[in-house]
Amino acid sequence: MMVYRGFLFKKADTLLHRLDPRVKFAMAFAIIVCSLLFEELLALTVLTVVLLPLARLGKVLKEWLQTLKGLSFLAIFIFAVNLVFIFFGSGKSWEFPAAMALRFLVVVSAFSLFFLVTSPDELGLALQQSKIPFDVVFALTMAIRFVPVLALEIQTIADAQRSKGLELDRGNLLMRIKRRIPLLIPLIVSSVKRSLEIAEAMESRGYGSDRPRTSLYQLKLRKVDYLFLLAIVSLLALSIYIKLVFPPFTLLP
Amino acid sequence: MILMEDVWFRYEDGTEALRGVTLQIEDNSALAVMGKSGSGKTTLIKHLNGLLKPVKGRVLVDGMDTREATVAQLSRKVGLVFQNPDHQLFAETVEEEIAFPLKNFGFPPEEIEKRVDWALNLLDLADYRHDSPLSLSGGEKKRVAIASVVAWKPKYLVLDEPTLGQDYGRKLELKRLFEKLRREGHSIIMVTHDVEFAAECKFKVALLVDGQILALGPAEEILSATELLKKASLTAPQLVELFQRLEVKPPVFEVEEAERFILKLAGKAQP
Ligand SMILES: Nc1ncnc2c1ncn2[C@@H]1O[C@H](COP(=O)(O)OP(=O)(O)O)[C@@H](O)[C@H]1O
Ligand SMILES: [Mg+2]
Repeated sequence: MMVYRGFLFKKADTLLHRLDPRVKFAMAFAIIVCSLLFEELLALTVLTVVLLPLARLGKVLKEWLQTLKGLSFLAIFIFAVNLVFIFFGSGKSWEFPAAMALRFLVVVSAFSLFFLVTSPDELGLALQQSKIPFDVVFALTMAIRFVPVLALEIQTIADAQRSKGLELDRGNLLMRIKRRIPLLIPLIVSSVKRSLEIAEAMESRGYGSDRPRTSLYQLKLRKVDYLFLLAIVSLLALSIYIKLVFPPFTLLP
Repeated sequence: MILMEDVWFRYEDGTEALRGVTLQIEDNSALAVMGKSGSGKTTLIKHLNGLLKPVKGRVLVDGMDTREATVAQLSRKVGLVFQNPDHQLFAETVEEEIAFPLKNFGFPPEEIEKRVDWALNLLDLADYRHDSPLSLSGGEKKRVAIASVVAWKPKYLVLDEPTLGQDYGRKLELKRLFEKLRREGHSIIMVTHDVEFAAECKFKVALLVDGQILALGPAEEILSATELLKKASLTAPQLVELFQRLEVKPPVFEVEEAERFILKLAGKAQP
């Protein structure tokens, strides 16, 4: 339930926090691309391990590990499903299902790290300076801001319905899904209500009536940003090189 | 009887919401939990049906430790009405909304029908029985939320801010409902900011400050202790202030009583 915490900005003053948001995004993106390039266990393990010191550098190791912990259930599920359908189905190695699960972990935890060290404002600024229309940027940053509000709301709704004797974790999967309808409807209703209220509040303050807005802060790449970019590009280049030159390697002979 | 023994509670983010609360709720009693917003009122009542479990201390509901029972089991005895009705209304009609908990608790169909009718009449909602709960006004939604809990007749009825969005007339009806339920043997526990309403109901009052119970006593005593109320960031009810200024002792708490008193005063002043 609290996995979302691993995707919320945590304020701190570290090298990682000070990096340009675009560089941070490039970093997450590169790691994800690499994880898609390889299906070897070794390579994917290396990618996960690379994230660890980065999370430490950004002082978000605890939150990042929480994401991993929260996702481990899903990862095991992915492993199990792949094992059943691929391992037993095609006789491929057990490494493949394991790699799929690990790949999932890499992709999500890379995003988790990105959001942990990038404030919604910075993200908005980066998007805006990439010539994305302000309306879109605004909607996106607002959506990110409301994640904790929504999470708290789901909790309250679940508490209210559980107090009326609703047992969420009883019965088979289908029944469990059905039992969540009393949570879903109030959530949708109050979310729609809130968005209408916000829209009205914005309009009454003149949102959109002015010329395109400019921002006080301008993003500019610094030396350390270029260094990180260099590292990212090298990582990508190296990965592609390995992928092209070496035949697929496995851990087992 | 519900017993809270030195209950401490801390949220995941480290907020200490309850700091050693000890409280005894007798059978067939009436208690108002009062305090400013953020003082821990909602956290406290979520302990009564096991939604939250103490990190230290314990809560016993009729002798049952809340850590050893499910929320569903405890809720059968302790009915919680949440503050915001929008967080629970989901059914297509008011009738179904009220029937939902009854189905969860496994009441037989004839009994469900009977209780839904009873609860609808009790809260003056019979005209809306086939309407969507979402189409109702704020005050009506609140009443639907109360009806849906009252319908299973929990021994302890707990309400979070029941007077929000209700006008004076509705508040009086609520007071009468509480009196009726108490005659039938229920206990009422309500969380409220509304000093006027708490005075009117003459519940026992627990003042909560920063997760601790600062004072506990009859409404007449607590709600006329100006200094004490100040510590809980509350102000005395206007009636109490008025009669304190008139130096009438003991102060008057109910509007009807005050009316009689003032008429008597006026009658004496101009023969
Ligand atoms: N889910 C939560 N997570 C973290 N802190 C919370 C949560 N809910 C309430 N709190 C905090 O606990 C304290 C008591 O809150 P609450 O019981 O809701 O007070 P009240 O109902 O008196 O307004 C407040 O400081 C509040 O910010
Ligand atoms: Mg509250």
